[in-house]
Amino acid sequence: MEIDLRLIEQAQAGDQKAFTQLVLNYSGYVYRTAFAFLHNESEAEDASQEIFLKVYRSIHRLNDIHAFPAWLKKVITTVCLDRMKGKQLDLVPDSNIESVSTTTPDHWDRQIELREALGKLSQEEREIVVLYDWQGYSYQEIATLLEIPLGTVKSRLHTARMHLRTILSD
Amino acid sequence: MECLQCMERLSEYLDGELDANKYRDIEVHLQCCPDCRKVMDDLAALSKEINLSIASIPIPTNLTVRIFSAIEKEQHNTAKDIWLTSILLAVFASPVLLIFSRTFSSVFHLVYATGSAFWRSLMTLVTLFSPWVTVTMGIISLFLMVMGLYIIKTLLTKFEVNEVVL
Repeated sequence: MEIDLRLIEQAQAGDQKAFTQLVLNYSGYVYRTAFAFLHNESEAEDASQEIFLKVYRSIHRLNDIHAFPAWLKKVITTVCLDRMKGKQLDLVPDSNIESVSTTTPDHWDRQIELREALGKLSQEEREIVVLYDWQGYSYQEIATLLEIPLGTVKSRLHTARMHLRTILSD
Repeated sequence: MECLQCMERLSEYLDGELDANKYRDIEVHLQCCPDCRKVMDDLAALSKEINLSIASIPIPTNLTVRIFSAIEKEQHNTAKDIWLTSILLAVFASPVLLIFSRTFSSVFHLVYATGSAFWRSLMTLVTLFSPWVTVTMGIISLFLMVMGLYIIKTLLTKFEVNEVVL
């Protein structure tokens, strides 16, 4: 995530144009992360909306603008994990992805295949893979975020990756 | 080191989460075990592919429009909240301001004087009764109040409210 410190500063000061630009810059990352967690298009859209509302409400409270990426990442993670709690989301891949698969080059097929495989993981497995491999959280940070022991993080991440490997080799 | 032990630690090995000794043990095992090496290569490739796969998720065309409309609604609600708070403050502050009005101060004084006269009359009446009568009356009225509250509570709990699900 590249950050534009001036833009964040302006958005903090209440500049609407700067905030609009911030949304345009980060909406892709936010949506993709939400989709990776939730694996449901409309849920990911709702989550993205909620994330930007939270950012809008509290960006002025951010003391260190350099911490914006970490802060945004935390907001995304919190919103998505909250939405995942107690929810059994639709695991069927969305129509958009299927339509892309028919019209895209071969090397994209593998990415779509992987995305579908991620959707076949359990919520617990998927969240840990996304947190580590995509979000870049450390084992210890994940343990704190999910309130689970460090040993569980290690074993769950390994199980999830092995499961993903099995799904892809089938 | 056995294959099973190596397999269990492969993710930690790849993520650099092992101490030097365990890391070395796994390296030694991987050099002489093609099966474990194959799994390790697969897992290493998988981590990179996961990132590429998530980075290529298509974004809905109306996403930013939805986000902007939600923010606009929020701005509208905030403006409404500010108005409501101002009105409420004005409503609560108005009695204080009324004290500074001469006419209303006279009305307040009249209410206070009437209340005070009524209170003094009541006290005079009470002193006419014996202490036992006043204490008994107090206990009876307290009992009636508690009973009344209990009856109201019983009546209210009997009402069933159907939740409306949209």
